This record gives sequence, C-alpha cells and structure tokens, in this order.
Amino acid sequence: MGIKYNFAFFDEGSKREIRRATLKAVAIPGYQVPFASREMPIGRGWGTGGLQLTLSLIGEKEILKVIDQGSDESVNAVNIKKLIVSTTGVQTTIDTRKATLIQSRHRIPEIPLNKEQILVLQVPIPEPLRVVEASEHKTKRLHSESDYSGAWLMLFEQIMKYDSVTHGADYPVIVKDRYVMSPSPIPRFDNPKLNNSEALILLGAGREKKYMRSLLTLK
Amino acid sequence: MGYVAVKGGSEAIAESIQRLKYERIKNGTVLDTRDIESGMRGLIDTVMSESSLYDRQVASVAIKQAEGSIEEAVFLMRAYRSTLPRKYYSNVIDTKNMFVERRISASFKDIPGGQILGTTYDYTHRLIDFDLSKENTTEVEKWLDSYRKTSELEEPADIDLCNLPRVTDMLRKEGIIAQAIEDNTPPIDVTKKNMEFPTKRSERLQVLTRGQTGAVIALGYASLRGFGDLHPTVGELRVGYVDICIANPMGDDEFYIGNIQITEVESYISSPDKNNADGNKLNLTIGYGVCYGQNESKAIAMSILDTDLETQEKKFPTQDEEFVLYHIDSVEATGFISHLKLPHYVTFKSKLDGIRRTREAREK
Repeated sequence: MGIKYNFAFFDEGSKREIRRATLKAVAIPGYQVPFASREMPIGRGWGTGGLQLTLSLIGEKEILKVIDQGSDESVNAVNIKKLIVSTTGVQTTIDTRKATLIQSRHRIPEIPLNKEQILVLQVPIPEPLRVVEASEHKTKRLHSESDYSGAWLMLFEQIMKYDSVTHGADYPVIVKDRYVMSPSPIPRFDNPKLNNSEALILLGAGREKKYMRSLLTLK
Repeated sequence: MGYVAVKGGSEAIAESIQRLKYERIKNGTVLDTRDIESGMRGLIDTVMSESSLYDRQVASVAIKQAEGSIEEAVFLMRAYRSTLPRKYYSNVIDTKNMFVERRISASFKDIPGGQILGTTYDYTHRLIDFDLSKENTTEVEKWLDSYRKTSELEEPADIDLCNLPRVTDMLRKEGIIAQAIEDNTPPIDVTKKNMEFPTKRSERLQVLTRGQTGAVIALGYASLRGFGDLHPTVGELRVGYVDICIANPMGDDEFYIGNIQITEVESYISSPDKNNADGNKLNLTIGYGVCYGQNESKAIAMSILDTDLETQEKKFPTQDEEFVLYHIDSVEATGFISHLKLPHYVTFKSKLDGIRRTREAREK
C-alpha cells in the first residue's frame, strides 16, 4: 500500500481552508481567529500552528528559514525544516535576509524584516488572559468587551509584590488599540520588533486552534 | 545564550532515528502487519477509535511503526488523516439496523431478542495462559475446524440480528423515558469548525468518541465514584456492524460504501421530570456512548460524561465542558506534555532573569 504525500503535506482543500482563516487574521490584527487545526506529523505543541501556516502559504519558489529559540540548528527547527523540505522541495537558508518565509519558535530575528517576508511564530497558549481566567467561554467575552483589567492587574500585582514585572517572555501586547494579544513566548526584549514590522507576522497556535496577526503601534 | 553546535542538531537527530529503527528490528524478526491485523484486535480498535479513522490495515501499519505504542500509532493515524481529501458526509445511520454480534442489558434480564453475550472478556478468569507461548498453527486449525462444525450444527435462533428491538423502546412505551424533541439540525463537524462554548451536543459527542480511552474512562470513573452526580444503569450495550451510505448527488438513492464495527451504549439515569411542574416526579434520561470497534469501557464512560455535560448546574469538573472536552484528546494532551522536552533555553533564561530581578530588588 504505497502512499505518496501531497505537495506541502495537505490536500488543496485543507490549504484553502487554512488560508481563509489566515486572511481573517490579517484583516483583524490581534484577534484570535479560530481555525480547523489539523493533526500534523510533528507533536501537537511542537509548532503545529506555525507549521500549518507555513505549509498553507508555501510555494515552490519560497526560501525557507526555520529557527527555534534563536537557533537554526536546534533539534526542533531542524526537524520542522526537514518535514517542510521533504514535502515541498523548497530551498532553505540560515540567512534572514535571503529568506522569504521564516518560521520561528519564541524569537524574532535580529535583522529587521522587510515587506517581502512573512514571519510565522509558533504559539503554545494564545490567550493572554488564560492565567487570570481558565475558561475559554469567559475569556472570549472579556475580549469582546475589551475588558482587560485582569491583564493590567496581573502586571500591577507583580510590581507591587516584586517591585518589577516578572514576565520575562510572553509579555502581553495591545494591538491597534483593540485586542490584547499574547505575542507567543518571545522574550520581552523582542516585543518592540513586532511593532510596525514591515513583514507580515502571523502567529499560529495549532493545539489551541487559533491564528493571529500581529500589528502593533507602540506609543 | 549558549552556543548551539552548527551541525550537531541534524546529525544527532539522524542518529536518533537510526537508533529507533534498530530497536524495532534488532532481533532480526519482521513483524507482519497481517499478524497485527488478525491478532491485535483490541489494539487496533483502540487506535482507530482515538484516531477517528476507521481503517484496520492502516492502523496495523501504524501500530507496527509505533512498536505498539498507542499514543504514537494514534498520532500517525491522525496526521495521515490530515492529508485525505474530505469528499462526503455519510447519511445518518440508524443503529436500529445494526448487525448485532453482542448485546446485553444490565437493566432487565429478559429483553426482546434476548441477551447475546457474543465476544467478551467479561467472564474469563484473568489467568495468564502460558500455553499461548507455544501455540502453533496445526493446533489452531484443528480447534477452528471443530468449532466451526459445532456452530453449524446449532439451530439458528429465530431472531433477526439486523432488527433487534431496543430496550429503550420498551420503556418509552411506558412513558418514563424523558421525551426528547426530535432534533435534526445537521451536526457540527469539530474537525472543520472550532468548538464554541457552550457547545452543541453533536460537538460533545464527537470529542468524547475520539477521546483518549484512558482519559475518557478516568473521567467517567471519577464521575461515577463521587465527582459527579450519577450512577447510571446500562440499558443496552451493543457491539456490531452498521452500514455506511453516502447520498447519490444525482438522485434520491444512496451508495453503500462499506460497514464498520461500533460499540453503542445507552445508559439510564434518573432525573427530575422537566414536564412536571411540582418537580416531585422522576423520569429516566439517556446517556449515549458510541465508538469505533469494540471499546466497551470507553463507550460506557462516554455515556456517563454525555449525561454529566448535559447537566445545567456545574458542581463537579466532570460537568464542566471545557475541563472535559479540552483535555481528553490523545494527540493534544501528549503533544503538549511532550513539548516540555523541547529546548526552552531562551524562555527559561528570561524566567531566571525575572527571578533574579525580584531577589535583587528585595535585597536592596
């Protein structure tokens, strides 16, 4: 029973469906767009949200870069890159400037990205309010009412207790004065790189089945 | 941050994968997938049910590749499932016409059509049969011969196994089963659309049926033992085959595309009669469980959780749909747990920085 896999793993119908959710994410920055997340050949929680974005967006001429915690050769980056290359045959690079599509776990490249590039970030827990509210039903309502007092209080309490914000990574951001978003656990010092980035930055949470687009205006 | 050797990652991974293959075949024997298919029925049923993919052949290859690890085999099947175009939805299956191989009721001794024990471990003594290590084909063929001969001699019972009356129908006539309003809204496909809370029953049943067997049973057990409100009675448990048909897009008829084996459970739970204003009358509600293959504990546990999640007031975690539905999927649970093995060098470093900062601040 020899079976061949499709270009970029998915059947075309699945890719289209994923791209439709991505378009919505592009249109509503910071909003968590639900999508029908597929099971992937790598662990759910190992970057499947990012991987699904990458595979639905990738074309034959793409030049791909994959990094994990800042390293091109980290085991998971290597593994994801191998899967994408084996199902698409695209070129890869470790040079940020040459890449057209970059998938990353928890770091944003140091070199500023340009408008021809797409950065895909892998997100474990997309909900910035999850630490203060366990229920998805309730956090969805809080977002719709722009009720972010929980997030502010969390930061306030940290300062009161420890004299500083203890969030080293995953420091919540407000996108276009509307949605509070969890910027995937990138370190806090990477947050400013999200701000008005020329490149399209997409965030994918496979296990939690959500896509987001980052587009910030820092004041 | 520490320097990560430039080529180390790729080479180490390649070696690790070689090592994995070595472990699987190091004794020089090759496990035939047909052996898995014919001898590992329980494993195949569990894997198919948790994968939501009914294919015994593919399941046996997955089990071979995963060296019998259920979570790995399910993972392989689910990932394979993602590559298959989804062309049709089957027509609604009426399990009334199930070809029944096994059917029992714990509610009534005498049921129309009778109790049919069929294939079950229930009444075996769980003593390891050490002779099985020496079992050979000659012996097996001899036993099969005589078994088939005796079965042929037996009078066929005068019951239609494809049209057995349901136990529930008996009670329904009496009017003590809560009347459910017929609801023909098309089910929501949870693999196409994310769950939204509060969920519809169709979503809950789908997530429960593809749940990890151990997780579904554990939560069902917790509910039964005290972290839930009910002690159900198994009204009817059936194992058998149902036909799958798809609608003919050109006409009114349908195409038969095959049959699948399922386990189906209807559990009875007494609850206040909603149509009785005084609230001093009880009636029975039905908890429903169904899954691919013969997975009886899972199907019963599912029927308990189905009832739990229908409960309006949430007193226990087993009645909280987010708690139950978000955490029983094998691929999701094992995926997130196993991601803890991934490097967290940067994230952990920033966590340490945070801890150090608070300590320094306090010391000042």
